[in-house]
Amino acid sequence: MKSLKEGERAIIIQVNGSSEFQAYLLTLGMSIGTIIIKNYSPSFSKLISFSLGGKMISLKLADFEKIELVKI
Amino acid sequence: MDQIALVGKPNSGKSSLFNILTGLNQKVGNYNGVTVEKKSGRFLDTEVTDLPGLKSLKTVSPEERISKDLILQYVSSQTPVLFVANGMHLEDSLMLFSEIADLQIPMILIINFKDDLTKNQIDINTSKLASQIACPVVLMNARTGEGLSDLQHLVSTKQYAVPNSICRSSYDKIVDDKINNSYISSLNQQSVKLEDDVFLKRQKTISSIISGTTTVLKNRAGFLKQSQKWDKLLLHPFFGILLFLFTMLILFQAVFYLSAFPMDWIDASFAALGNWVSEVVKISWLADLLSNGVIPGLGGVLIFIPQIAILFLLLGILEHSGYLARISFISNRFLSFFGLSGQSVIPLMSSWACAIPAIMSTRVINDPKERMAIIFASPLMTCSARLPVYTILIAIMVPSKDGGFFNLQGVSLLALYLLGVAATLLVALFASKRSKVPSNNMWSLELPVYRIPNWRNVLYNVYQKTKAFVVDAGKVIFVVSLVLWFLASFSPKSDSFIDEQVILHQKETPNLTVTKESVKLEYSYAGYLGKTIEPLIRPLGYDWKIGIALISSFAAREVFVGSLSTIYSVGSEESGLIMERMKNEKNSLTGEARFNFATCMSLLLFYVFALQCMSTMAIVKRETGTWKFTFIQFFVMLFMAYATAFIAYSVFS
Repeated sequence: MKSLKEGERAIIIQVNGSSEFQAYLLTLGMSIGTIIIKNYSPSFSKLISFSLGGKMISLKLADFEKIELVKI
Repeated sequence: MDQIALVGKPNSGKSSLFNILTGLNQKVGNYNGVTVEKKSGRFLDTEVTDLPGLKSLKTVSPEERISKDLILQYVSSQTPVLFVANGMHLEDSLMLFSEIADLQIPMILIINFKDDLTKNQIDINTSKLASQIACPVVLMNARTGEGLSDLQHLVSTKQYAVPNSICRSSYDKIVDDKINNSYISSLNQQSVKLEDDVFLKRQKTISSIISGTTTVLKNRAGFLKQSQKWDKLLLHPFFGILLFLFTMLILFQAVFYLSAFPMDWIDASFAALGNWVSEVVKISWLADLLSNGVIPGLGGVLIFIPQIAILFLLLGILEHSGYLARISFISNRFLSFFGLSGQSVIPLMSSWACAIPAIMSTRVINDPKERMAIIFASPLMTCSARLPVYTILIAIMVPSKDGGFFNLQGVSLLALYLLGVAATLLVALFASKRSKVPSNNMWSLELPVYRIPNWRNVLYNVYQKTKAFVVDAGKVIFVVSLVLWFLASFSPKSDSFIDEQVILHQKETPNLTVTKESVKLEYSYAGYLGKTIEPLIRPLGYDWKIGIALISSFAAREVFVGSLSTIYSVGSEESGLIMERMKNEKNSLTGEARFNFATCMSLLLFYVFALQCMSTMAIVKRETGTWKFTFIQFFVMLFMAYATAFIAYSVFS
């Protein structure tokens, strides 16, 4: 996940963490098979920004690390 | 009257549509039993309610739960829903649409942002889409009103329809040979496996509908590119923060500069009106009541309309341009040092307007611990009610001449705002460390695309917020002014006693001009009240007159200036601007200016920290459900106010 660079696409293959967290991701439109594109995310903010279905969404870095991705 | 509800995801353009449907015919109140803002208005012969934005019926945030609960009520009442979808992320919007469609509620689907669709060469076949989902579809641009006539036609002819269900049958269970559907009850349960399957089924069906009805001639990712380019600058670790600080500096400079002329004009107009009324009205007590009670009191509120309107205008521009969300992003790390996150920025910045909507907006914070810390600390942010107090004291103590590039009064105002921010963050840190509330720190932030603000929406917001300030504060100030005028105009002592005291005062202080009015005020009911608390406030540099204003402003901070205005009007033969009266007010013991640097600093610091707002206390009680929390908050802030004011007066006097 950390190796994903700005503009690169990745597919969600696994979501770890609590069931509440997985349910929360569903409300954002994120599930296994969802494709995201990483946006400019300066590390100082501790947030990761990505595009998903035409929207730009940011998650806390710690939460984003619970999502397993494969670069495509 | 028929009812309809506006429902949609955040950033779907729901507010623009609500404004264009209802115009100025809007009512802003609260939902029953809770303090979430309820906006309703009239469109044709129908009452429209604008529900808070909702990501999913499976939502977890307290504010979204309000929308969810109301939508569930619509199942039995069959209240029609106008569902607003953002055309640029239709798949995402239709996920929520289909969740509501599964509840079998009559709906109309409004696809908003037609202009963006056209610009990005995305063509939606609305009639085909309507037949596939079995629901009327309107393509609109809520910013300009394009498509409004189609919507008007559908609403006036009540052409709502219950759309096709997509996943409702997934919740069917056969019990005793009967089909029992558990969809509604499933909305409050967390079954990851079933929900994952339902989500994928929903997504697949919607993708299939969209691919059959939408033609995309251009790469849709290009739509975000412009905003992503700007983000490289505005989210930059150095330039982003620099631009943010610069924006804040400009904001406060503008609040002072742009409002100076209209404020002077309003002040002078009220002084002239007071003079005119005292000459025209022949009944002396009524003339006195109007010219020394009502008019100065109301003038003390209305004079701040320009500053409040300009503050809301500039905050509205930041919000509607998409920049406010970037401020959340860049401040996340900084706020984490104080036990907060970027999601606290919007409640904190809302506190600059008023702590009440700010405390209400903490419902968007998922983490209960962070929410409690913000509720505790946010009244320390400089709200618009403090602005009248700051403005007048700064104008007295700081020269209006330019200090080089910047106006010194504007810089002083900014310094007070920064002090409010620093106090808020430190108190929030203290509150989150001491809090025993469990933490749940899941949070996401949507960064909307940058847009030129929709001026209609911005100005509606300015109008609503300014009106609320004038009406809500005006009512309190009007009543307080009347009570104060009565207390300051009548005395338990006789006229002969007052005359004796005038002679006595003249003998005791031959260097000061002693008027009958000032002695009469001293021996009025208000004078006795002020003198009772004088020993408590004397260490802060205040006399009994300031004490009266201080007590009356426990109802609301902005009452302070109105009260001083009334007190000095009653206690003076002259009429004139409130600021001039305050400047000319003398310390009866020393003969020096009453509002000297030390007293002004002391008063400013008192108002930076004190929680002098009964409405805020009521909202805090309502949101936290306990008076204990509210009283701890009140006394902690009162202690901070008293201690800092005492130190300031001791140092500067």
